[in-house]
Amino acid sequence: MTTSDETGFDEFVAARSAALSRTAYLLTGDHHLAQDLVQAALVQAVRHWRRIHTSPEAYVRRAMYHQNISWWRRRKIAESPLESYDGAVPPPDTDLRLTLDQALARLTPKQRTVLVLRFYEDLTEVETARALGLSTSTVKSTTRQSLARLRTLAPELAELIGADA
Amino acid sequence: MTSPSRTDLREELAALAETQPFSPDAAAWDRGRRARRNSRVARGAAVLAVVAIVVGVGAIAVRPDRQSVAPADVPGGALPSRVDLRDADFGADFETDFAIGRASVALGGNGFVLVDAEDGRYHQFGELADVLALSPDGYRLAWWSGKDLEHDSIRIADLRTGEITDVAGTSESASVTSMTWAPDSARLRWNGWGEKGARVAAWIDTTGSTEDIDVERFGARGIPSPSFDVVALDSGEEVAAAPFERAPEPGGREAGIPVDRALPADLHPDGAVVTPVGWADEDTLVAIIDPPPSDVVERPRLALLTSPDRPESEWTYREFLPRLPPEATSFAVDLIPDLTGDPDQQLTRDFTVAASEDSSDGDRGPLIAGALLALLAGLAFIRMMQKRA
Repeated sequence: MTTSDETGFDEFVAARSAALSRTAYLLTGDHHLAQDLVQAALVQAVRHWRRIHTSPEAYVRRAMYHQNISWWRRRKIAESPLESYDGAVPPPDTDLRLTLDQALARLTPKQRTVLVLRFYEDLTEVETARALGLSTSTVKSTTRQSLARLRTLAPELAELIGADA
Repeated sequence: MTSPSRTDLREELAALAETQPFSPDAAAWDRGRRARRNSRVARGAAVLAVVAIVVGVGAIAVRPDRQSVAPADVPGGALPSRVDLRDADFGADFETDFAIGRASVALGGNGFVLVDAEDGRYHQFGELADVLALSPDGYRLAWWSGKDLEHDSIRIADLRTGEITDVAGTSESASVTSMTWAPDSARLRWNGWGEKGARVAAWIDTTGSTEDIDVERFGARGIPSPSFDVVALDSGEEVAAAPFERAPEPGGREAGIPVDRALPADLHPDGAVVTPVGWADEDTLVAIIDPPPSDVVERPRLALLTSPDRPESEWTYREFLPRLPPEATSFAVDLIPDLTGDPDQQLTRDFTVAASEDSSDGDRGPLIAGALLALLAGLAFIRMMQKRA
């Protein structure tokens, strides 16, 4: 039997899953992982649907941000030493998008998430801080670090990102 | 620093995001509801387990030292290991029936209190008592309520039958200042002041007969040992040695021979007030020892001390019932078990611990540790279930 809750959930999924999937891909850099991330956040949303059904998207997105960082921690991906990690990657392809994709993959999940929220979701520093449970100053510094790293990793993105002082 | 080209970066990010295919999972709702149900069941079970553990740990660790609900009966009775009127659970009315059986402690004051020797319960009576004395065997209580009151006499209650006997004090109306039972619990000596201001004393037989005695003679004051060879006296003040009197030589002086028995100086460097309450045996006095107020001394307490009639090399001294309230002045000393010489011999009974008295704090340690481990495991289980959910 289909309940009104289930109907509301189905409508939300139909309307917003595509957008959520796109964000999930930017957060994870992996198509399969992005799919899993969206599903995990939706399952979590179902468990609390009664409470969040009036504005579920904020909850789902927040769940995705935190779940992604949690998964990353669980996988225990260690950062490479700074020299090799931050060494410029010779672009295998001249395609700027691919370069950006590869550079993003070398950011930490936190740096990547902050960048996605600030420059893709277009959230302000305050909104980003609230969504991730960070202080505004942390968001500021993380944003600065992320951009600096992108410049180091892919100098050809300088024009896209903006020149550093 | 130049700010990033926000529009360009956003466009590139959006283009990158568009590469993500969209394939909705139709089973998300069912999976979510199932996860919710499982989570609730797991959490409920875990909470129940934790509650059970907490209650168990609480029952073990916080088990009170005294249980007024189910005190442990001791056949024959014993002195309690603590005397504290805060333990008493008095009813709304005073008791009137003195047939309570053997008592271990009598506490004076307006509405005196008797402690039951067999179950440690407190019985409060409405009688006024300026002076009272519990017999060494704990079966008789004598009290005097003051000469201006209705009963200008010494009253003796038989705690086995509840019967009260009024004993006329003396031929003249006197004020009673102290009463002392003989070790046989059958005779009571009282001391006081006569109407003409003279010290008076008399022995009363529980059958009712009275015999005046010469207050200057040996045995007219203090608490006599079972053989009447030595008498323990009130020190009346802080002393370094407990005062006694030895019986005079036959045919010689009638007064007793003063003899001191030193208190252990290491325990009481400033001395203590010594108030005898009876004899545990021929050679061992039971006395209230009340050292001067101090931050480190719990005053007053009961102590056993060897009679000065014994060679000093045999003297022993042992304190065993601390923190006595000032009202606790009379004890059934026959309840002290035969002394074995073992300094750790149990002399009192903790009536507040129910039948499982043998379970000491040391025995509880592993139980508490195990229960706490189980508690931590329960909490970890809840956390794990929450994460999994």
